[in-house]
Amino acid sequence: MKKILVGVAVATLAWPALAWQINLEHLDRLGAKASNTVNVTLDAGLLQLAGKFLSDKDEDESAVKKLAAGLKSILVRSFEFKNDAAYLESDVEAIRNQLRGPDWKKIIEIRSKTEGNSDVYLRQNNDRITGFALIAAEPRELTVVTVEGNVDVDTFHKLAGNFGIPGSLRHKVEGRIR
Amino acid sequence: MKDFEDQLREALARKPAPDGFAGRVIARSRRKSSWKTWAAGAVAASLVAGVLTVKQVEAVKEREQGQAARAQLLRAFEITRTKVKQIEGKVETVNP
Repeated sequence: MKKILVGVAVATLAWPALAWQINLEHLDRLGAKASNTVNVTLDAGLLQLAGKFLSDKDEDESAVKKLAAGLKSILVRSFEFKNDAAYLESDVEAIRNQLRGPDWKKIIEIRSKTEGNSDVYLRQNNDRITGFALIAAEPRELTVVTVEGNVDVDTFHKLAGNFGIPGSLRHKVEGRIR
Repeated sequence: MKDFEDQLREALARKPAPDGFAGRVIARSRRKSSWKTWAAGAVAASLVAGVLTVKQVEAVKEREQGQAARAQLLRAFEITRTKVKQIEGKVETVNP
């Protein structure tokens, strides 16, 4: 009985940590079909370690270091294929389903028969951005990026742009989120 | 009884040490302590060398892991930046 209670307590404590991370494991099998694959998995420990090896003198590296300091994980899965339809729509839908929770807000959705589909999601906690996810599903390329933790908005803008939102639209979209 | 007391007295009587006894004892103890000192020194040196080697291996391993993580992190941001810019471009096309 005691063991069961301990198990329940551990599972309860671990749940928020498990719920925190988007699962992209189902994409791993696409590596065998892809002509080019990028697979990046960085947890908080590796992000901290990476930070120690980033230069403070280089402007970009210094910004990455600042941004990485607040993050819990970064996952990137990017596949390039030689043919169309190498991945299934259900592969992408499985990721979208995980981002349908109340915490995540889809801020961009592009559907194009020629250029593919793109989605950008943000997760907010009060005024802070605590997650960013991007799905770019093109006919011969699939890229998924998830960034979780405290995202320093200014540093992110400087490094990667306005979360995919052009400057002219950014204020409108951010206003709508808040 | 008297005979026993005499035997005991004789047995317990102070007798001078044989010639050279003290010198032999000192020499022997020196030999022993010298061997032990060397052995202890060798063990300590091995331990220090072992600890230093382990620390050095750990430092090399951490540096390698750190450099690999750094490269992955920079690659992740490069991909994110490229994709974000592409999406911004697509949005601009839709909402000029």
